[in-house]
Amino acid sequence: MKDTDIKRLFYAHLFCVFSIILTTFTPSLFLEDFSVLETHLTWMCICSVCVTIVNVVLYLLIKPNPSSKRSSISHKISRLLKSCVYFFISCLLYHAIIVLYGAPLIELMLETFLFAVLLSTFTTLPCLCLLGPNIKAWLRVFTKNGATSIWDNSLQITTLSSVVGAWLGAFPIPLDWERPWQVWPISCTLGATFGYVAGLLISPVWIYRNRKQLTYKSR
Amino acid sequence: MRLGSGAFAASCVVIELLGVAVFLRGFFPVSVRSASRARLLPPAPEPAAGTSSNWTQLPPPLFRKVVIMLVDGLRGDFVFGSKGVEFMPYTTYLIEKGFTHSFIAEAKPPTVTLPRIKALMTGSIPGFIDAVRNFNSPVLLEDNLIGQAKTAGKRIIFYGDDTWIKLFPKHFVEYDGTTSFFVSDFREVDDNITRHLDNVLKREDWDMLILHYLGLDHIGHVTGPHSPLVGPKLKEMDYILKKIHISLLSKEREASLPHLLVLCGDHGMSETGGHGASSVEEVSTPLVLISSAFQRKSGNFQPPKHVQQTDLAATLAVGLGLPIPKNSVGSLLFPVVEGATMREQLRFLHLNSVQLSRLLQENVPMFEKDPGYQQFKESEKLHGNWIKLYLEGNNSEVLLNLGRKVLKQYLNALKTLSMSLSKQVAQYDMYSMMVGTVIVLEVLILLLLSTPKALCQKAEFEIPLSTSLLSLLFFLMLLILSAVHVIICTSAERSCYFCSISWLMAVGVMMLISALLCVILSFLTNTFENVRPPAKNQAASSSSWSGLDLLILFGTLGHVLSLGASSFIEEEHQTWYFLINTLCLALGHEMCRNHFLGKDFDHNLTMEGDFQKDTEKILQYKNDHVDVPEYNKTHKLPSSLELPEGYEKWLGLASPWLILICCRLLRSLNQTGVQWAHRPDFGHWLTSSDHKAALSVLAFLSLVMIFILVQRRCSPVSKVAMALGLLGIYCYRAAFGNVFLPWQRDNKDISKGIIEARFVYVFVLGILFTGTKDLLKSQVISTDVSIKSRGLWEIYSGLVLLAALLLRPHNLPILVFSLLIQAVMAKCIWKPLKHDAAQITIMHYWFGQAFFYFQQELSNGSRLLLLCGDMFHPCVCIHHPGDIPTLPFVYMECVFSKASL
Repeated sequence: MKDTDIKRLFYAHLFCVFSIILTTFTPSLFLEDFSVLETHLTWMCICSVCVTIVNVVLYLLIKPNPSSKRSSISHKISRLLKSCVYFFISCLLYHAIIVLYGAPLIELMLETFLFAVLLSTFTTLPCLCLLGPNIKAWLRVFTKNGATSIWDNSLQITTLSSVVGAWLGAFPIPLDWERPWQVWPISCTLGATFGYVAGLLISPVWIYRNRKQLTYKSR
Repeated sequence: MRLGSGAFAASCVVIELLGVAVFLRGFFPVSVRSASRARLLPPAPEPAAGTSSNWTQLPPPLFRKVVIMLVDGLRGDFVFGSKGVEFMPYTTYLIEKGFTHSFIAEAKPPTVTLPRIKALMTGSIPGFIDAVRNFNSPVLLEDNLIGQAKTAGKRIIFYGDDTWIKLFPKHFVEYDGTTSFFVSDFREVDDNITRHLDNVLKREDWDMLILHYLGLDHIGHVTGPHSPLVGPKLKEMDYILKKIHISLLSKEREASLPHLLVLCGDHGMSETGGHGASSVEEVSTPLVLISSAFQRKSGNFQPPKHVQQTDLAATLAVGLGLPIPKNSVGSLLFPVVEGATMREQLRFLHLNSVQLSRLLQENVPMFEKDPGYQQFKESEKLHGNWIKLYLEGNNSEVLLNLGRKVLKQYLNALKTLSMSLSKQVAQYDMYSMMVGTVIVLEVLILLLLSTPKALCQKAEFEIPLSTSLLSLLFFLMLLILSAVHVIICTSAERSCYFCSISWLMAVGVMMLISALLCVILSFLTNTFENVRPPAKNQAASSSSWSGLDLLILFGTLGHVLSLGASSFIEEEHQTWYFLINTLCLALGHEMCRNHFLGKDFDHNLTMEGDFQKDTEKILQYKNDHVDVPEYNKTHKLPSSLELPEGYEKWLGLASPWLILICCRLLRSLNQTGVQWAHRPDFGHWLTSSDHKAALSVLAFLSLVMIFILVQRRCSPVSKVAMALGLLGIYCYRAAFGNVFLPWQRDNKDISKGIIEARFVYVFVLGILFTGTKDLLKSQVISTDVSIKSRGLWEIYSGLVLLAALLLRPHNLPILVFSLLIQAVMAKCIWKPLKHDAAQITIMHYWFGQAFFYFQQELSNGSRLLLLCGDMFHPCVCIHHPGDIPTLPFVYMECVFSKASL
């Protein structure tokens, strides 16, 4: 049972990675003068929309967590609405944190907000898909030894790696190298994206290698 | 040998200091010096092929009187840029009409006054060490222009910065020094110089007049290069220049020789108003030579050429008919002597290149291969031929052409010689550096190895000194090192410091190195023998490192690594801001987890399970290692019993975010660094004269807040003293002109705040004294903890008062926020989360660094000066029983940055 789960996880993640790679190359076929660095805002929009769609589709296809007993339409709609609100709140929260980290408050507001949206799609959205709008479950997953399935583990790894990627991406900004990608927020978004991709690739491998140690308590 | 932890740490620090000293001695360039003691070498005779020249004396002077007008902090573009056109109309007129030879003289770092004066007067490049000696300037013993002029019987008059009087104590026939210490004084320093001017210019009994104006530099330090005060100051300087020039011109009609007026700066001024580093604004200074002897250049005005500041000494020596200072590495500014005859011109160039090549011979072992030296020999030969032709009476076109060729060759040779000499200054003494590094590294490893033991309760170290001193390895190492020493010292191309010290000292250092190595090795073997059996527990304990520990560890390590790249050093403040933000977020995360999960019964089961597992581990661990009590502290035990309730809980949860917001606000107060320093910031808005009212309100509120935050635990007497002291600070700032005073509107007060500042200093000393008294009392009687705590708190408040006095008024909120953040962290974060001493110390250190950069006090990129700043802002933490550290970051503004360096 476990090996098939890991396989499913691996393929799902591969699909995500593939979609991100597609977002960097396909838009240039439809849009004129598109490049990741120069029309960065467009790329950010496309990337976050694409990752959202892929995540939702994968969630609907795979259904990693067996759904709860109550599955009335109204309940589902309320869950969906709740998720949307949570997503928005997470965007605002990220925006606030980024500004506290030193991003300009008034200028480049759109860039900062889009970066927050991208970061939310990499971190909050998978959580919403897998755990639902349930803060307690989130807190459980993000504590030590809180994971109850390989999906939780992969969630931990991808979220952490995208945040760390964004964090590391901020380092080159103040330096005097005069590169085009040192402009706010390009290096951070690239860092977050690379971190996310790395997380997606690492997590199946890590889970596979540690499958013996990972014993989940059923609850 | 057994040592207590204090003694061990102290000895380590002493050895470390020794290593650093040796390293620095090798790292800082030693200036190029001529070794020969003979004060006066006969001037080199004119070269002549075959026949001997009849001209062996020094050439006669070109100028009769020289006036040097040195304006401290005069930047290149203050004269040649738009500011010069606007505020220095007379100088600009002279430059554009071609009455002058104007250059941009490049000053070598460190761009501080004393080394620059030395460079101007000796022509040598002083070492970096001179920056440290800035305040304690000893008499200049090197061969210099002033000394030469004095021996030649010239009468020199000096008015200005008293550094000169310390450098040349008996050289001036008349002098009046002004001190550079009162930075707030913009007018009097200069008026004290100008008041003598009328009298001196009327008289005839002097040959050289030196004026050193400090006002512009003071304005730069306090308000920056773009302040509205700079313009009037430049106008004043222009007026003085005009006065001197006109008076010199009027005298010239009677005299046979023309006069020379030199306008120069000692260093520039960075965009923030400081100086000391090597940015373009700091190193470019104007050098304008004005004399009626110069031919007026026809044609359009050309931008000034770049020359070295050291060139002035050689030029002035030639112009006054003096021998060129022996250690000068400068080359003659050729346009100045263009008016002389061809023979004289060649003679001047020859003298200069002989002097430079002599210096090269004494400092470089392989001087014959130096291209400059070869060029010099060639041109000397050609020069001889020319002299021969000249003496034969040949006056044809050939002579002129040959002369021009020799001239060009000489100029090239001078340039190359000067360059290779300057390069010599920038060489490192690798051997000393290596020795220093080895000592420092060994001590560092020793400290790291002993850290686990230092955290034990016993805190005693068994240093295997005697066994290692007797071991074979020690003697072997000593032998090898001595052999290496002998080999290096006998084969060294350049003089190296370590070879020049006495033989015994060198052996002592070798013994130290090898003893340290042996101690480390035996330490290592001991640790491994002890650790091997319970290897599993090692793994268990390492997994107990919390995220915060990892962050602290990697943050500190990462910062140290980032100092390897100059780009990171330039923006070091960004690293610190980033790190403290991350620290705050991590703390916030920990607080959240502590509060929510501690109460969450649903998950308490798992946590309980973990907890039991952990306690088992602890027990097991404790059985193996009896003295590891720290384990409990680093691992947070989720016990819901100790959680504070109600508003305290929410305050605790909100505090990291509060701190984050504070930091963000402070960050927008001052823009530091290199890349973004020019951005407008809140600090500029506040300091501009339009917003004086806002600044007054802010400063007042900050002082009140400081009082509220600090007075809590002081004795009543100190409370009153503190209040009066803070009031004194406000009065001081008001007298200074930064803030409004509601009850006194007239600005006739001439004291410039000095009385008020003294008043505050009295209170600072008083508070410090009572604090020390309390501490001593608690030491002697050794009963009451509360007295000790009060004493510490009083010393702390005294230091805060001092900091409040020294900080600029718009930076006062930084002090308030630092006190506030410290209080909040101590109350809401460290206490409930039970961080241990090491964690708290490092957090203090991080915040201290960040706050140091918030105040943006020093010039950009000038990390040498930051070095001296760092010594003044250690984050002081003092632990006393039963209380979390009370003495956090007190940032002493580096006094050096304020005073005119």
